Amino acid sequence: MKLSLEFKGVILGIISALAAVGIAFAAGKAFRPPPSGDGAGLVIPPAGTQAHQGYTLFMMNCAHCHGNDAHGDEGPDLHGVTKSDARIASMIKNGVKGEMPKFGSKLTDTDVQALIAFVRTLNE
Amino acid sequence: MNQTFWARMHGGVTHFPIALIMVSVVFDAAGFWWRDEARRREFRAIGFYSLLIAAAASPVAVLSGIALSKGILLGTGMLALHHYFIWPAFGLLIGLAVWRLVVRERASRRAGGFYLVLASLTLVAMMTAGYWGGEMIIGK
Repeated sequence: MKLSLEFKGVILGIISALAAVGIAFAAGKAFRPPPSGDGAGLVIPPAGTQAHQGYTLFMMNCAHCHGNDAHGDEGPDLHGVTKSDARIASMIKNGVKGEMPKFGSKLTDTDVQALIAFVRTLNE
Repeated sequence: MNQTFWARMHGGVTHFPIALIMVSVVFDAAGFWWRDEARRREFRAIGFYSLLIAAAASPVAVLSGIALSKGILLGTGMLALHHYFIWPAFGLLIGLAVWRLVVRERASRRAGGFYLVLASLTLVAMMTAGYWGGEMIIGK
């Protein structure tokens, strides 16, 4: 059976694409830091509460820097935050120059209050 | 090398594949529909080499992104949205570049049309991934 050049190209293309993504995934393991070992998971606030709304917003907007468990990654650990609600709201809205983006026009005041409520649950 | 280095590196190198795949699709489209055959060949040549450079630059963009996210390949929230689009776009870009390398100028018009559809999808996926990447870095 003789394959057409176009079909050979398709086969080679698929193999190359899978190999490239596979190598990238393997490289991901190499860049992954060893687990910290603290094992502290995140307690998800009960559904329907303001804190739960904050948890949802956190996972969408903040977790990629502060970590899925809010114990910090590129951004700091949010457990045990002692700053006032007004200070936290200001940091979320206006960001921290060179460190944290501003979310002032992306999140409403209600969203920010929900995020604060979620952060407060991390102290409990 | 800290995360700031990887953030700057990723932000810089990702724009090469995005811009070049855009150029490639535009010129390949012109090379598909233009009337004059000589001009069509020239447009396709621009599309071909733009695609090759985009594909060659893409592993650097991907590796710097992996280093930036500390090996997270999917993640959550905006990072996950970024990854939902970038992995298919990366695979398609490499696959299409290899297909073009194998076939060169010997593709049928039908295959060329199908290629153009896939290249356009790759461009859309890459731009969407870029949008979510920008949302993560810049916020609003």
